[in-house]
Amino acid sequence: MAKNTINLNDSLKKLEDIVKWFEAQKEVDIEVGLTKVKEGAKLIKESRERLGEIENEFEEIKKQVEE
Amino acid sequence: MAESLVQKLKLWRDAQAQAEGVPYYMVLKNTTLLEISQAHIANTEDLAKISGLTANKISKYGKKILEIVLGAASIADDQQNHEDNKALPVSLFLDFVNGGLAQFKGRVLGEVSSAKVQGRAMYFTIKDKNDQSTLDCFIWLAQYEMCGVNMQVGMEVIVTGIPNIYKPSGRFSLRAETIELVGEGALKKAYDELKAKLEAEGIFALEKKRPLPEYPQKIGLITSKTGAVIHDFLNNLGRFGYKIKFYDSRVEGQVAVSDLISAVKYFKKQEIDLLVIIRGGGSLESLQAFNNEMLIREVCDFPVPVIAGIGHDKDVPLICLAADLAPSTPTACARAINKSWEQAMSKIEILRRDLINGFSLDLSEKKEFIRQSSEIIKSYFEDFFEKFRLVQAGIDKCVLQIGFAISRTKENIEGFVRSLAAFDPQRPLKLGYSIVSLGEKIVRKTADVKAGDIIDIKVLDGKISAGVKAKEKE
Repeated sequence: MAKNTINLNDSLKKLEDIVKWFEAQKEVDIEVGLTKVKEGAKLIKESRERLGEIENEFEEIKKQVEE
Repeated sequence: MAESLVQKLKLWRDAQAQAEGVPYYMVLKNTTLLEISQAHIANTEDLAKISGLTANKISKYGKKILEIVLGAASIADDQQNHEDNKALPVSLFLDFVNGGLAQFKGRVLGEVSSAKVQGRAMYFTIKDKNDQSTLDCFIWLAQYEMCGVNMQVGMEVIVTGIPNIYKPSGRFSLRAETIELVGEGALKKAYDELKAKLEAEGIFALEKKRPLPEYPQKIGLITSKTGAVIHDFLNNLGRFGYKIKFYDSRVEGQVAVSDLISAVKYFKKQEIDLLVIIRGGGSLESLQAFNNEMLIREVCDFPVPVIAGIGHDKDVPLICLAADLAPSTPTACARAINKSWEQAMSKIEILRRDLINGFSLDLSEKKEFIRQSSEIIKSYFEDFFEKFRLVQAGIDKCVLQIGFAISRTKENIEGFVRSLAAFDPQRPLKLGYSIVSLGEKIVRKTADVKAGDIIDIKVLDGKISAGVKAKEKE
């Protein structure tokens, strides 16, 4: 359940910051860029998982309210 | 005996209420009086068993109640004594007679021949139109005011009350509980007058009407428990978790006024969302309580919206005009109360849809954001690799070009070598040819030499000197 502790909103906010960072660079410093990409990839993975969980939970709730 | 005891208790209770300046039910309710009369009360402990008697009431009225109850018991004994032909003191005798008179409670029709207010009561006399028979009557002002009848000499009235001998004076009178007008004509006239008066005050104004509360839960209901309308009303009230507080009130005729007013006052102190007053249809006479000024004013002052569902033919009961909503039937009342709940069901459906769709949209947006972010990061990083690939391709091209250049040069050099070899003077010598020269001059023709000349013959590995012997031109 530890995975559930990630907050999707926070993760997406961090991801947004990384995207902004990339967009602000005229020329990407490949070393820094690599660190950012690693972090971004981790966030994307986590966010997708969490979103998947939320979606599943939501589908359950949807079934309940639509009964 | 129980019946006469109730009447005695009532007489005392009414007088007490009058003295305290409060409605009679504030002293003791009719049901409580009935309970007292039916129980065998001997002492204060017995009083405590009566459900309507609080400790407070017992401390306030207990002594008097006991007096009356035990007095009535002694009258019963005295009745026995009377039958035994024993003499009774005046007071006890009058108590005994009043006890008997109480059973003659009735409605008396007559014409008002005199009326005067004295203190907190009104004394009036009614006469029989046919033979001038006269009856003195008495009514407390509070009760008189409740009647909504403007007493005038000459008018015909029906007085409801209990015959009684007033002990201090020994006078016989009818203790009136209520007075009502007689005949549709008089009732209609009073109705029209009151309607005009209240209309002028703006009591029926549409802008005064309050909307029914949304999702009402606590409903105050005033009607008679024996009437048919209560079932119509309750059966049509949806199952929306209503909490109904019911006040059983008389609804027929003038006598209903005091019950109705008590009921409205009772609900004023209760926490309810709306008040419902219902009864079935009837004539102007049977509905007259609903045209009572005092009752209408109570309804106007009511803190929450009031629904009045009173069946009627021609003249709309004034309470209906004053109420916030007046459906024509109890069923329609119930439907009006259900309305917001029923709408809530469809509202919930809409909200459910909005919630699901809204959240689905949110989820899609987040998904899309993640996808886009991933694309952006990938593209930026890939840009770098792309640049790198371009540089590498450039270098590869250079290397290729250098390779080309080298091999071309190589070829050129070989060409040169080949050309050089072709021009090498040694080359014919190798093939066996020789170069003949005379001095410095190369011998090409026979004419270049004459016999005896010494010529040099150059061969591959050296030079041969020879003399020309002869020559022959071809």
